[in-house]
Amino acid sequence: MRRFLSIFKKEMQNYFQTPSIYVMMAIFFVLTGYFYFSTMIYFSQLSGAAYQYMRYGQTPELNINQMILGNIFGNAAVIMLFVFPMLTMRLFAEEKKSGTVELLYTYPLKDWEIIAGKFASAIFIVLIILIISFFSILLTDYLYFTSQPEYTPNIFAYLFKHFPSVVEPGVILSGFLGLILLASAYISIGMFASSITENQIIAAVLTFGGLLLFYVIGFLGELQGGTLEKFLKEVSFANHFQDFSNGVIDLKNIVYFLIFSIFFQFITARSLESKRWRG
Amino acid sequence: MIRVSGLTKYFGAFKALDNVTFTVNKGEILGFLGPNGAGKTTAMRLITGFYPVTEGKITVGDIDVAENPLATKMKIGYLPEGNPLYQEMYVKQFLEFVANIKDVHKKNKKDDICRCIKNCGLEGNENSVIKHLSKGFKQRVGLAQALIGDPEVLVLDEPTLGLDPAQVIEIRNLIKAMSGKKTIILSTHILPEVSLVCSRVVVIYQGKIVAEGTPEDLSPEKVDKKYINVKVQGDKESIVKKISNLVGVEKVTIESEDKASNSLNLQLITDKSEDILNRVAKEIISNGWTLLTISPQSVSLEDVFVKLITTEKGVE
Repeated sequence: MRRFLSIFKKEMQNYFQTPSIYVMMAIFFVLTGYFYFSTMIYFSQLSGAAYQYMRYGQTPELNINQMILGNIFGNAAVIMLFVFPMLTMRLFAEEKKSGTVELLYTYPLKDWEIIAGKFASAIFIVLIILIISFFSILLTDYLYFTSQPEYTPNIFAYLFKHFPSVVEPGVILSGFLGLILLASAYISIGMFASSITENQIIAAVLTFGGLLLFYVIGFLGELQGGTLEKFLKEVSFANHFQDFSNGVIDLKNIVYFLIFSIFFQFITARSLESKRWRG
Repeated sequence: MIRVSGLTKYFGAFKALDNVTFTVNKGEILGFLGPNGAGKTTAMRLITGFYPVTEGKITVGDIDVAENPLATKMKIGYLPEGNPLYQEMYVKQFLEFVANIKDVHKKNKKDDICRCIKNCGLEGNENSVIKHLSKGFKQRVGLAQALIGDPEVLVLDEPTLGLDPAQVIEIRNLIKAMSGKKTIILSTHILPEVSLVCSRVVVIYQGKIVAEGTPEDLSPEKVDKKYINVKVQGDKESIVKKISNLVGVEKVTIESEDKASNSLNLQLITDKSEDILNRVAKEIISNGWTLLTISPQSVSLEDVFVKLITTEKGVE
């Protein structure tokens, strides 16, 4: 455990001592921020129109949890796909290029300690990103709250007494759980890509290609139909993640992401070992 | 302490090491000598458990490397070839990382790191980023990293490569100071280093051990050829002819020729008969040539090395 922690600590230090993580986070937040903003504008226009409908006795359905929160999670999932190669590309490729992998494998470390330590460090970055992302959910809730009659201009009173006023904790929980599971699948693929090459650019491109393929592979199924459709939908990220962003925690989806991550971490270990056999 | 028997390593179809057997006793400094690509690094990577063994057995302190790699890795401090380091880390941070991995007890951790910093002359550089250090200091960090946890065995792959002469001497002294206390395997292709530092030498060439012994074993006295340098004035052709015909002289080569003073520098390769100097000198004088200098050349380890690997080539 102590060794696992020291690998974890080293990776964390490395993340924050090099600029790439800051660049990655900046891009992530600019993009999610932009999509959040556009969703909000769209929603406010819809609600304006809905107000008109209501005057004629119709009740259109507008659900903040589904339309805004669902969108926040869905957008985060897609943007992660673009920026995560930057997070994982260096994990093994850098060590192989600089030769430090030789140090790592001649220290008294087990393979799983190395892989789990690196994986945990990347997941930790994801947690930081998610915590910061929580701000947009808070803002949504606050904006809704300000339109209510019990509105108090005191922000602390809002935070401690009235939060959450419209967002449902269950949806937040399932969305964040889904994002963490999805991120662990992303990271596992990225780690595998990083373990088969010593070139970080190749690792990043392989990761991006792999992630995109697993994300969109279900779309092909819709055209084909039949068994192939079923199979491809089961393999794809998008379908399994969809439920989480809608606030549904399904054990099937959790198991899918866990098996996916474990499988790729397992072949990462095998790929590193085979490299040592071949020299 | 380290016992290597019948060690063979294949990379695909390429045989990097061929039935290598040697032992290193406790407190000994063993020098691995050989040209580039001879298999020194491969042998070290096998001992440290970086590469798995194809055939043969390695034990470090009676523990089999293949069976219990974690236990043997605990006993070994390793400076890999080219001294790879985490360039972004601070010296102290890096050493702490190594100490944690090598299970140095919390109480001793600080002392252990201080000791390594002091022993390797890194005082005042603890808080530098490794990539900003000069090459010599990086090498010290590499050595300090190997010393963390006070391992019984040190495996150092070309520890003095690329350093300036003063730094080379410092690093050598550092290694020498540890003799007796630690078991050290050191690889190099710089020959004087071996005779300066090591108590025993293994010469590897093309994956095989071609010679083994103390540096003295490989010194000129033990080699069956003798070299003599002669400077002589006189007719070139007859000198070469007459001296070549002497009993015991195997080869005469003209090193340089000075036409103005009509003198020659010759190198003779002779057998080890004792009066060979005498006979050559007499031959020169009795022919009426002027003998300017005659001196037996002391053979360096380098010559032995070249000789060992060239004869080995001849066999194939």
